[in-house]
Amino acid sequence: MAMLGKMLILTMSFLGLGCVQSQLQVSPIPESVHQSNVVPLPPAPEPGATVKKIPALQVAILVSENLPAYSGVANDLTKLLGRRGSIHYLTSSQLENQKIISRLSSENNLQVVAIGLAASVAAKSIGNKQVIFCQVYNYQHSGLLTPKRKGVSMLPSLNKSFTIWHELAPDIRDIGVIIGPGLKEMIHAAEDAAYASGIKLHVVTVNTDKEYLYAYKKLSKKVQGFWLLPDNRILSEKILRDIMTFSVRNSKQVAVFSDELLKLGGLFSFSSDTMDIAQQVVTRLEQSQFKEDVPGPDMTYLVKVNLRINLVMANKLNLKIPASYNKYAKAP
Amino acid sequence: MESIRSGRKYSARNMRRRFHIASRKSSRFISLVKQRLKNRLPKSLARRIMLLQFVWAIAVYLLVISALWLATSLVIESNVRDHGEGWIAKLDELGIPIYASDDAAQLADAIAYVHNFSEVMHAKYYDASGKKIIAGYTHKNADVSDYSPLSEHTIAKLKNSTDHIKPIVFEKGEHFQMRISAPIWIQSFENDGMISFSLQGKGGEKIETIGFIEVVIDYSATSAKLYRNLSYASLLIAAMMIVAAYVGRKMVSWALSPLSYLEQPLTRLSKGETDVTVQMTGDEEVDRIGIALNTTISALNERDDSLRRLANHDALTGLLSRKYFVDQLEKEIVRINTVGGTSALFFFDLDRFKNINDNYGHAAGDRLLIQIAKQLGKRIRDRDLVARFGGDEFTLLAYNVNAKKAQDIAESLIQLMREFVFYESGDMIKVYFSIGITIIDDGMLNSHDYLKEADAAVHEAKRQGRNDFRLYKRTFVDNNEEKGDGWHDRLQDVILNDKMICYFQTVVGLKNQPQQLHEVLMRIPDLKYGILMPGAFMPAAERFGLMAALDLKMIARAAKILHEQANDKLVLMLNLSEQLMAEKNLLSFLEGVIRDNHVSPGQIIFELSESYVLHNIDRLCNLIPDLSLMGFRFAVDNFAAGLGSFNYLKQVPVHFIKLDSALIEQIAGDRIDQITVRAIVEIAASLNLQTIAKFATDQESIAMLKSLGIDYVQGNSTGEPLQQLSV
Repeated sequence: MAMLGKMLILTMSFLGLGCVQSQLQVSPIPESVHQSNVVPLPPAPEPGATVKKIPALQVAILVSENLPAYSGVANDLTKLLGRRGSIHYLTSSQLENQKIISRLSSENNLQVVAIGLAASVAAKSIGNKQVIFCQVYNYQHSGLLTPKRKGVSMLPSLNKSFTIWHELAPDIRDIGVIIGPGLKEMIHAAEDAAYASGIKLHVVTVNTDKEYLYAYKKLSKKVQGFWLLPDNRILSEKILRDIMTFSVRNSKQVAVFSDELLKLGGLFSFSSDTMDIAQQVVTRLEQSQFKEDVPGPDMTYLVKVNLRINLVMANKLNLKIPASYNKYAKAP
Repeated sequence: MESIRSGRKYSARNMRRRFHIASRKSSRFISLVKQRLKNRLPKSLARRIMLLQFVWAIAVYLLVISALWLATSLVIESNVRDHGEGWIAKLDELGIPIYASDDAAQLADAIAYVHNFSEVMHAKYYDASGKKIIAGYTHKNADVSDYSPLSEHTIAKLKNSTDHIKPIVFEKGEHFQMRISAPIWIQSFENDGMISFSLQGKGGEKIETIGFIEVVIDYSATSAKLYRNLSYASLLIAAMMIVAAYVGRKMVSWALSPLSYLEQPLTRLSKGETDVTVQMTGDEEVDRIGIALNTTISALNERDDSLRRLANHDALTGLLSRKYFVDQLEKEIVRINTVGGTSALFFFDLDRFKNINDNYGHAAGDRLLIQIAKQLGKRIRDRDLVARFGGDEFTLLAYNVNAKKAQDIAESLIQLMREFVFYESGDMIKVYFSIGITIIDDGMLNSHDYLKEADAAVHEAKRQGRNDFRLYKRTFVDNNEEKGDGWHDRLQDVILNDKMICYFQTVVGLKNQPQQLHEVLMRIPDLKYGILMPGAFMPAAERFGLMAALDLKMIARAAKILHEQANDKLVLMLNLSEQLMAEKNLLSFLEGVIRDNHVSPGQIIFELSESYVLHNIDRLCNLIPDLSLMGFRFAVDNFAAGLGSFNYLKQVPVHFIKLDSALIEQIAGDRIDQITVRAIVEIAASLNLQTIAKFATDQESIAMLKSLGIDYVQGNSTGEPLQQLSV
């Protein structure tokens, strides 16, 4: 009976019924390959497809801290993994954290899911275990990638994001992206996705928030919009406010990573769905079972996107929102 | 230890003493300043207010200007700081290429931007150590040598940030320059900071200092402009305050102008005028003062009236006072001297008023004076003035009357008094007065002269037997004329050289008595008037204690006359003064006189006034019997003047009683007087006394007196005093 319940949950998840009302569930767009080391995963199971029985390999879910973005994924994972999954929160006590790591290290037949950078870095200490990390943006910066340690991107579906952007702003041609160092694979994937929607990404790599602002203003002459990525290394609150103010003054379309930034003048926000992340993680766990390493690319990308449209900015920028998107448009 | 303690005590005492000295000095200094300030303050309310306003305006002006200058300085500095912060932000932004891209061209662009602003003297970018200048700009002609590189202290301050607030160091230099330095930061969110991104997130950022900016701002131009404007404003405010002061002066003058309405009445009031009324101006405060002044003036008028009444009227009788009377007399003299005419001055002296006081007390005397005043008031004309001159003396100023009319008035008043009876303690007392009259017709005389004349006249009237009037004829000698040693010498001369002149008035016997009685009256010679009456010299003689000597001389003269006349029927009556009666050797003197002149004492009758007898009964009850034994006889003069008792006659064995003129003058027509005289005569007869009636005015009276049993009569009708003795 319990097994039947789990299957029903998984089925509903794949059907997208687990998303909140504001989430846009768009059919997956085929990912194009564009000089990238990222190997796309096999397509996610189609809705209504029979879910394979999950082998009885235990999964330890190591969570950086009890934040909604982390705990939401952890909770969704437990829904998918059932009794296999066990959540372990890191604490502010290094000793406690060490105990957790030691205990996980000593267990056999265990797969590890690390949610957040701290958990992912801590998971590096767990020897010879397959680790799937998620909710980490600068995975390269922290040296997380190894054959046994691979991740799921924290960004929402790139294809769907640019598709939506193009549908909302058909005239958009050039979009600026400012990133910190070491995110080439992700940028390549993004360029491919944008290209598929007829958009050219102008990418500038900076090291500091000062350079960010400088580059942003410099880049603004070339682009109609900016795609803000959540790179903590080059962003500060002041810079965010400055660039948002600059964008509003210069009528730039800005896609932001948080609904909060809509208040500062973002046109729409693209954010990821925790169940989407959980499903991608579970897929990678399944593919890794009974194998030495984690198969597949270093990072797999999400297939869904949560959308919110700033109706005020849309009006200011004279964008006509298609009827199908009206439900996502509201004033911040 | 003890010495330390005592030393401390001494030190404390010393400090207290010094403190007290300093306090005294400072308070003395403050008092001196206050005094000098007080002395220098204008003595005008308006000027004082103006001075206060002026001082206040100056103080306000100085305060305002000081505040303006201070505020301007603060505003300038604050603006420079704000401006400097702006420049720091701008240079921070302009300098990004230096730290982001090492792009020299970008820096040149940034510096080019700064070129346009002359207030930026120089700008420098330092590396993270703060020691090395990465880039810099200096304005041409700028002298910024005063500014050394960033100090360790400044760098430390710039690196020390709390709550993510960028520290900025402001260093004020000379010549209106300010150096502003700040760190160049890069900021980034913490790891995983973007997962739960929130705009309200605090402290979730890392800050790193990658360099420093230094900018020197020259704000001299701005300051000069502001201070120039401030100077203009100061001048404008000063001008406005001058205008305000002028307007204020006018307003103060206008506001205080109602006070000037008080000036005229107050000036008049200060001159003693009390017929002043302060008019109401409609100003509440001034009207209050006016009402208060009017009330004060009314009170002053009432008090003046009261004082005037007190000063001008006699408190007892309500008649005019002596002073007021004299003033009016002076005015009348001046008037007569100016326009001519005559008026009369009457001097009244109550006869034997002393007896009333002695017998009935002073209260009775006062009541008598009041009634006399009423009697006088009844008889005079409204325009005439009656005054109580003092004691029992009254004066009357009758306007526009000549001597004849004056005498008529006097006669009328004498008649009035004859009809007047004073009732006291159940007794009916007849009171008379003597009147002296002088006619005011000579402007060369003053009030004093006229009063002396009237006084002399009244004395003459009294001397002539009282209850009569005399008109001053300028032959009288004022007994007050010589009050000094002149009289003394004259009287001494009279006494030593025996210059007395004897006048003789016959006392007529009504019963064919063989004896021829004559009263010897004393006169003294005078170069100016020939002969002086007793009223002229007797007061002086009494005052100088010479009456006894005069009386002795008169006794001796009488004895000599008796001797010379060698007429045993001749009897001389002599008045003895109180001073003589007090002489201890009177008896021996009289014995010597009788012996020396070989005369019989029975030819001499001594007269003593009834008042004297009444007051010296103890002495006389021994003296008179002794002298009577020698043969001398005594008469009581003015008998019944005070309706005294007959009892004293039992103790003082006199031989004659001289009835007072008051009983005799109207005897012919006054039934009461007749009954009284008859009773006295009968009593006298029973006591073996003979009676003499003074002032028998006519034959009818003499006949009446004779019928009543009077033994002798005396008066001008029976014979005026003569220098020659007619036997």
